[in-house]
Amino acid sequence: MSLSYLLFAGKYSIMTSYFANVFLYIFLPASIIGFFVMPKKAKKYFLLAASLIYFWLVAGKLIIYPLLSILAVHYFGLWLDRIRTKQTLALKEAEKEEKKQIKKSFQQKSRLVLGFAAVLHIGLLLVLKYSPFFTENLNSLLEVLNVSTRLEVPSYLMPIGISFYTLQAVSYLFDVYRGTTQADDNIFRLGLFMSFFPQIVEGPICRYNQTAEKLWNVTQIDYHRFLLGIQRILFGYMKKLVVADRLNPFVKEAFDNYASYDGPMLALGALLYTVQLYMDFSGTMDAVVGMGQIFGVEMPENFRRPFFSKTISEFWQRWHITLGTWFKDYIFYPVTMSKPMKKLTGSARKKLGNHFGPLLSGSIALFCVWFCNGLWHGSAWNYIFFGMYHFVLILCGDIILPAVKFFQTKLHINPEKLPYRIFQILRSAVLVVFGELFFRANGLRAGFAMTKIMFTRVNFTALNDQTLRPFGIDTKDLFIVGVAVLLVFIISLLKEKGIDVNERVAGQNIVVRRIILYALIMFIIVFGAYGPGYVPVDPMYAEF
Amino acid sequence: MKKYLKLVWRLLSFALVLLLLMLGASLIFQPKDNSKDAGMLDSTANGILGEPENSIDALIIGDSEAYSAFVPLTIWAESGITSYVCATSAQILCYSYEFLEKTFERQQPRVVMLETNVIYRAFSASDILTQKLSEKLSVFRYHDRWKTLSLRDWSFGVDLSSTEINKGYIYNNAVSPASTDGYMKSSKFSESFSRENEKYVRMMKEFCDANGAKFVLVSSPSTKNWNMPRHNAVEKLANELGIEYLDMNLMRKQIPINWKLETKDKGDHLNYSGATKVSVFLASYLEKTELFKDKRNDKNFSQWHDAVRQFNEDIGKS
Repeated sequence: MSLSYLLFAGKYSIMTSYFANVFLYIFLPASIIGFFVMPKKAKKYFLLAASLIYFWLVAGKLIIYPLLSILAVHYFGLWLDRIRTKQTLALKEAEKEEKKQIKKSFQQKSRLVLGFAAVLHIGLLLVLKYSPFFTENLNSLLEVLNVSTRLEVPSYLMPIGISFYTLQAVSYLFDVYRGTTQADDNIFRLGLFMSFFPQIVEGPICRYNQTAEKLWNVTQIDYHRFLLGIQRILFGYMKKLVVADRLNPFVKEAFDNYASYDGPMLALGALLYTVQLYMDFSGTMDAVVGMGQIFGVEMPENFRRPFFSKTISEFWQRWHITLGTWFKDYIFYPVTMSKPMKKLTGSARKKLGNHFGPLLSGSIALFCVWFCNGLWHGSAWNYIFFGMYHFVLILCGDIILPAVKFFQTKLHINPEKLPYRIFQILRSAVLVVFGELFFRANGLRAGFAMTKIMFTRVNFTALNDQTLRPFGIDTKDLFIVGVAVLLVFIISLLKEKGIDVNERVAGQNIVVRRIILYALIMFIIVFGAYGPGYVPVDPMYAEF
Repeated sequence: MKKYLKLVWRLLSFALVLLLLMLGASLIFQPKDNSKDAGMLDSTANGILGEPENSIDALIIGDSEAYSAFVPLTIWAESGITSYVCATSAQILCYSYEFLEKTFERQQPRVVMLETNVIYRAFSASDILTQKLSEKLSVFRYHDRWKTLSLRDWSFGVDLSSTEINKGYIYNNAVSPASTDGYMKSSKFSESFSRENEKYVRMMKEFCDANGAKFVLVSSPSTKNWNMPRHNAVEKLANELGIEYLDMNLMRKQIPINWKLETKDKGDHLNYSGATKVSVFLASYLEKTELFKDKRNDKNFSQWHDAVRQFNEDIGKS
């Protein structure tokens, strides 16, 4: 394989994901070795160069998008900072009665700059990702209104990870505007924060204060951290290749040809899709966090054992955490803290009391969050439904909370007892699986049709090689998936109890540690769903 | 420095043991013979591994176009020349090259033909890496055999003597007519292919030169896959390499394909009837090279007569 082919592949992407051979066997080792041998001062520049090369190898010419984004964010950040400095100077020299007016005037300027920068980023995302959806819906509306005109549905090439780095860019700008972060005058540091290669495709969505300095002050690779990182990456690979990708044919068949199957099979399809999605995304995140550990950068965790959640609200505090906190900080709080909402809360509190009063404005903010959350995942109605479904569940949970507490007391139910906790966990899991059915369905209609079949065609079929054949897997596949899921469950349960298996393994003597590592690697090589007979499955969240 | 050396030693020793483990696993997972039942992938093409040593005169490599268009048993019946089609669905050139190398380990074909549709199939760096890795460590190619492992797999011995009656050709006589509108319409344009593909074609030519074989590019008839811009580009490459290029799409007199009856899927691939015409022509082409002896009366090749009989019987049944 020639170097020129690696570097100038033209229209074909060289690496599709962190699970591509070229990444695993060439890019990542080369990056680690390069980083290791680089002088301390050059390590950060090396990481920046590696990140840009990575993006280029994945997305080719579309690298122009993140590059322009870095330039724009840098420029607007400095502009916001200059306005703040000018404001401080003006306030110093101003008379007391002028200060309010000066503040207002500078705040307006800041808002204008922030608004323009945010519109530039979000606008680009809207055009690239959502304009086909909006145009299709507009055409449907025109059809309903009997207007013969039809708009051409646009189609754009979208750079991978745009949904992730756009949110990261916007969060930086907001933080500079709010003064919680100082604008970075070093474009390379900002560039590295925006483009660090392990996170640019699927996140986590980092805040400037979380990773920028850490990335800029990287030091030599530490052996213990290196071990932790490698182990974490392998654990992620196991989740993705052994579980998620092995389940892919079943899930695809169940969702693509749902009309051919009975309710229980579709319910199994929804359950296995939820398992697939979790293993795929959290597996990728394990790999990302592991890579960060190797380079000495602690990345924020995106998952905290979500299937141990007792409520839907808790589930979303444990699933895709960085997206949830982003929405909380940049949508939920700004909406609830806005003047009209504060006013509404005040008057509602008087009329509806301390529980239901704040719920009113909270529910408006919550609606905004979940509408955006649904839309962020994709430009289709089933994603919006998915968002609204969780909005309703969380809102209902808040509304009925006093009633639930009342009945718990009346019926002498101790919510801390294990059976009740298990009931809560299972209930939350069932609700999540149902939501994921709509998330994966090929459109909203398909989601409803599948739901109808689930409740109307309740014919149980034994799971054997014959019944599984149309789904492209067999009982042996399910057995291996079961073994891997059990392993993940045990490790997660231990983590819930405060035992970090990764740390424990890294702390073992070299013989035990190596036996565990070899076993894990061979488990992935033998039982991974890759190679002949398998269609490579790109990380699922990279599409969002 | 000592610290770094210790680290390097740790990593190297780790990698070495891992390599040994993978080699061990490869011995277990490798199919113990080259039949489909034993788990061999592309067993039809890999049937060449079971052919008697130095018994194949001509090798044809390619994708589904090749295994649909060339019938080695017809070539044999017409000329007494032995040939084998090492073709697989959607073959990519790095895999073609592997077949070339594998074949020459036990055979000395005098002519190697590459069906040109593969030149237009893109492949990624990841594909090359996968192919190279699985060539050396078969656990990466055959790991899915964990489902069918038997006691025999732990014996490590490999018997590659299984042969294919059809010598790599895959029989199909379905009919789905093709339109010939615009087929091979004259054009001055060339349709480019990737540099990596070109590199592999050059490597194949060099390999054949080094092994005393004539390397020929051949485009089998296909209204769907072939056109003048592709012809022009491949012809230019053939001229640059100084090799022969047979474009059967332009040989309508010598190979009069009836596109209403002799394609199985609207001009994408030929059916048996079309493949017979192509193979009769190819037999005469190979004869004209004067590189081969007619082996039809050679007792050592009697199995080819048996294969023809068996093949005809099978066709009669289907």
